[in-house]
Amino acid sequence: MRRKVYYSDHQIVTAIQTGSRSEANKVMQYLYKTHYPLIKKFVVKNRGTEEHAADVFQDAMVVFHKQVKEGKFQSKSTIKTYLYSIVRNIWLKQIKANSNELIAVVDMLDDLADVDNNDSVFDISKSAKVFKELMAELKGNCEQVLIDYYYNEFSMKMIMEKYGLQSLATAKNKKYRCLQFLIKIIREKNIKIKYFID
Amino acid sequence: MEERKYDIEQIEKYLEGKLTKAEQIAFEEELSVNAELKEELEAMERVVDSLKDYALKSELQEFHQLHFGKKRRFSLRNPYFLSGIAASFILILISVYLIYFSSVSSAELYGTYFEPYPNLVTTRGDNFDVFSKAMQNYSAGRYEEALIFFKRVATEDVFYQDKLFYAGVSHMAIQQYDSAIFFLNEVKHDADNRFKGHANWYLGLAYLGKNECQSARDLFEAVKPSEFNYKEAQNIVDILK
Repeated sequence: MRRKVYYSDHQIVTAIQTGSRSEANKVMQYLYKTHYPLIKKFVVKNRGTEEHAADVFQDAMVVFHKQVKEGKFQSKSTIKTYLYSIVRNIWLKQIKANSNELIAVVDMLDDLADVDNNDSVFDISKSAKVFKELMAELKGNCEQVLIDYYYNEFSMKMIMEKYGLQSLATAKNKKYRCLQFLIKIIREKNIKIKYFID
Repeated sequence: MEERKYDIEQIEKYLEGKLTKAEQIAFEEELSVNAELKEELEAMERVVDSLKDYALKSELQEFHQLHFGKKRRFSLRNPYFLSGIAASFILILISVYLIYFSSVSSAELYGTYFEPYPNLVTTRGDNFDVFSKAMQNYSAGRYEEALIFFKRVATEDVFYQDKLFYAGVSHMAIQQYDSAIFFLNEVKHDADNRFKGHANWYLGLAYLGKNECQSARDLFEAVKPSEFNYKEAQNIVDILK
């Protein structure tokens, strides 16, 4: 039987900032499982669907992860309040963009956190969608190679072994070719999203 | 390809702090006067950042799908609900039976998860004749024939380490688990073997084949996130719990 796991806010922040990739994954999954039901309630009560809730919560989790990594998350509020506040900001901005009506917000929490409300938070949400289309243009296993190197933090030796490449130099070349190709298509498409290339 | 004074590799080394002190100073001097280089650097930072965000979001989407995705709405008014519960209950009973009481369970898991590893070895010329023949048979699914040739690959052969791995997998394919375990342990304890990261996964399966679930579970638990079939190993650990 699986034991019920509990992580304190402090443990979560420490795992994201200094833990291994798998430790960080565990706490991110824990956060998702614990807080998604509240987020879903908020989005659905405020003109959204379950799909909107999932999408906006995933973006908020990415923002939260980034802010914790960069040391921008201040534990003045709980992670629950903080995540809720990021979702609230992103979602209200989205519905305001699509409607001229005044919106009476139905909140699920009494407190809100002081969230860094600059545009980059919303850029992450926008760029994630564009990036998905770009990745679809990568050929062969380029997408996975790049994710393994930059996100899963594989060494070149691990890349070489996983993809059955003959040498470290070949693995390095493959990774650079994939990255170059990605940058090339971003340039060719003249993508000017602030988050990519100005 | 466009010629640049600083290529993508050097920019990346700078970002990762892998340049020598002298190279770093030179790079930063160039950066202060070269607008194009500055732009390249910023572009690279943004692309890598976005790539990480994209990967994290993809993982969260998968997680969502697994835990919250597309659940059927159950209602007692729904005639399929009760039969659904009954079917689920029977499935649970069967799973419990398979896992705890039946010798079929581990064999079934083995059958579901075992796949011969693809032939990723490039052999060159006649010098590697025996190993090439072994791999040709291996690729064609003729594992017994492959093993005859693998046996003749000598310790000094450049492909000896690869032979240990593929011979282990060949034995598994014909259900000779003890021999498979012997070869895969050699791979596991050889720090230089390029298939070392695959050993725990295949060893775990070999113990499943032998119906030794505790040993299998220990081995699947030992599969590291960077190693071959980590997620699948975690799935089996959950099933065996």
